[in-house]
Amino acid sequence: MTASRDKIYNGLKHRVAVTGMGIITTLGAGKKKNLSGILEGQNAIKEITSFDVSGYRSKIGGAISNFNFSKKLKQLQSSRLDRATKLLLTALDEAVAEAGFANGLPSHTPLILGTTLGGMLSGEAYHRNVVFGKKAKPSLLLDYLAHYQAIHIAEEYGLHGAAFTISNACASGTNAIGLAYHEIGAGNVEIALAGGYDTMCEFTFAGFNSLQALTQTLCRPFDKNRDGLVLGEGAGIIVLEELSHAVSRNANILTEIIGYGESSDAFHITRPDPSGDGAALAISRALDSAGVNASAIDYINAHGTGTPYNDVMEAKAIQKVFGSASKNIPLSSVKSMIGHLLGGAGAVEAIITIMAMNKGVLPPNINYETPDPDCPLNIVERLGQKAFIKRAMSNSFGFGGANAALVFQNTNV
Amino acid sequence: MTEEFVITGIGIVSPADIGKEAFWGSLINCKSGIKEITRFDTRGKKSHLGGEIRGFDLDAVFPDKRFRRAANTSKYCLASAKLAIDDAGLDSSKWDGTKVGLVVAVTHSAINYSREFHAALIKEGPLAASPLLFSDSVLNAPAGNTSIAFHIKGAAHTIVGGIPAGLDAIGYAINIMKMNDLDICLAGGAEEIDSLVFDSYARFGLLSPGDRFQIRPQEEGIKPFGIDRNGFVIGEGACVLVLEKNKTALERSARIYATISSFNTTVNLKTSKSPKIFRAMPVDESIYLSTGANGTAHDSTEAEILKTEFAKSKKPYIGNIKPIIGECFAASSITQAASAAMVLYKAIIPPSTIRHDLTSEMRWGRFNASEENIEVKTAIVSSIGLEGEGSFLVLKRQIG
Repeated sequence: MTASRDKIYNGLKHRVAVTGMGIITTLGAGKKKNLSGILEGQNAIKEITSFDVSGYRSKIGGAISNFNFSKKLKQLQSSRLDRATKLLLTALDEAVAEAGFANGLPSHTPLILGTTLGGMLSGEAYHRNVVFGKKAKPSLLLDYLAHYQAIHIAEEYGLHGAAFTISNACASGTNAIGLAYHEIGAGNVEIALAGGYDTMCEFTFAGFNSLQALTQTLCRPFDKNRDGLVLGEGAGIIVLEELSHAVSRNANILTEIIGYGESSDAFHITRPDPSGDGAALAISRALDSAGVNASAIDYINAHGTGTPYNDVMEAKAIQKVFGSASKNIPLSSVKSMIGHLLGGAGAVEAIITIMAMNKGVLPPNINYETPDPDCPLNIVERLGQKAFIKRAMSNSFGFGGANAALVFQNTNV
Repeated sequence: MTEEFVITGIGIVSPADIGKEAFWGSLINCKSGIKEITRFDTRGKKSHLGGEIRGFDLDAVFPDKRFRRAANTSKYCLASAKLAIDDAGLDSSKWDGTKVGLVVAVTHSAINYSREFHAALIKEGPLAASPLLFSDSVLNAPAGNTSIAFHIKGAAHTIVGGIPAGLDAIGYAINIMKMNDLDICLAGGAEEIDSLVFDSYARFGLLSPGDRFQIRPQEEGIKPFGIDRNGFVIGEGACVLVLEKNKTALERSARIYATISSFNTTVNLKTSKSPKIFRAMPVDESIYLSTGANGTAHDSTEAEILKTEFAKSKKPYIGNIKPIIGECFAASSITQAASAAMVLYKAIIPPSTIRHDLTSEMRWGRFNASEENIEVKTAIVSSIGLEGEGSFLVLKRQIG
């Protein structure tokens, strides 16, 4: 197969460009801070202060400190919003402004978001009131429900199109971008907003702690001595646009999305299928839909959680699809620096991948010291490694066996 | 959307009854599953009714010990999926799972498991936090469990949304079938009644007898489009539909309930000016319209939209299943779709559940007092959520 985009695969009719991106992680708000932090290999993981971690073995996370939300809202009341909505609005503003829609998006623009827990901080407050016998504000229930963030955003931006919330655990953000890609590719819409988010909250922390999935030291994706993940928080939003539409309005084209694949493990509610078959199916579907073969990929942004289970499964999946090329294609996971953003991971990592492509520098996989013979991959160890990245893949895998992969291509148009 | 996808299986776990035919019997006989809530104490509260599923035993439908600790949301979903797969004449142990997908819509999902997990954490600390509760509290647990149970490897998705989310699951399922070239996709919705959710909606004044939207205080119960409607009654359950490529369904001579003609979803209907939902509304034919009105103020929004859409059409038959099952959120709208598909297939229109005085915006419809044997070609499912989000599905009778 060739990489020609004259033909668009997977039955789609239209090419899909990215014309705007917004991001907020523990590295800060905005693409600039995130790109420089990532490329400098900044470990932004700190001790968590937003709740008491003294009873936990792990005490660290990628929380966003000093987050001051000062956006002047037209429709919503800031004091009533969950932190998740504020993170989303921050990322959205950046993405929408970059795409040139600061004065308003077409009202039918669909909004497709991925999240694992929605407004869980509001849920925690609600639960706490109930446990202590106090009357909880019923409005907390609405912020708690995971689809209300999308409803609030649509209200604030005056959107009347679809507002979809996908909750496929840690693959949610990638699934959201995949759906938006498909909607534009199929010719159903010309512009779409897609992304993902999740907040740092004790509920999730305690859950991952109970599953013994959290490291007490460092997140070391693909390292032989890796012993768990670190949770993070944040949001990532992408403006997707039909390519000729973007060209006709002279929009800045950041990259092209050329492929998306997904699958389900049907194996276990929390553990990935150790064979890697499910993940391999998603990856190969992404390549098939892109119309490129495995050797055409110049960089893989791995899911790489740093848990013993995930990383070896992902390595197996990559080996199955990429064969001997799996030892050569540069690969890294940025979770070692910003943590695992769960529903936000796929979107944030897609944005980091696109920024790295455009900068021509590979994101490092920090904390990697001891190679694992079960993960024989070309891990990006050094900082500032320059590379011509024409095509990149971003992987996401989640609880419940959700697998998803995206393929980006920098194309001259 | 094209007309290349069809409904070939229906599985229903509803307060009225379990199983497609039993549910249909409830519609024909207007037998409601709404009763006094027994799962928690409603003394001292304004509302006391609920559409609870009583005497449910997953083992009777799908005996599999792996799911015995799962939340009811998952169990209802598992049972509905099994019923739907059987109804479609399929065997999940024999299918190529990579060609099968799943989309489950939830609104609150296993909020009871989240509460329990968090309560233990608050009261006793991190060591008391149960990994079993946590893994089944996540929003995609029903889809995860269902994909595991039935070897669904093509894709497994969870849509979180309000009342219309069950229809969104159908729309999304069509999308992922195209995206991944799947032959089959299960689309479902699942919900369970939880005391916290009940209390919250009661305090919002949304539950009958509510005080926020009441026009004239009346007795408790759902009165869709009623002039004296006073809120909804909460319900629970699940419904799963087997969607299939028309081509493969025909090849295996499957029973086809209906063809999926179009799907449309939108938000902010409350502020949207004259949204045009349907591209072309048939003018001369009889249409069955399954409405989502649940006895709240939002019924007016739905009535206004539908009135505009049907302005030039023959009076449609107005159906509404909420007085039978209650407001089951994400599970409601997909159960509406199931009932509409059965209307098309059986060529029978059940008696309308709407017997009360109607709000002026809705007096244009046809409310049949008893069942009618009519071959309608088109059934429309309408669902509008509490925040003005709406989804609409058009089904067609399979010809030939």
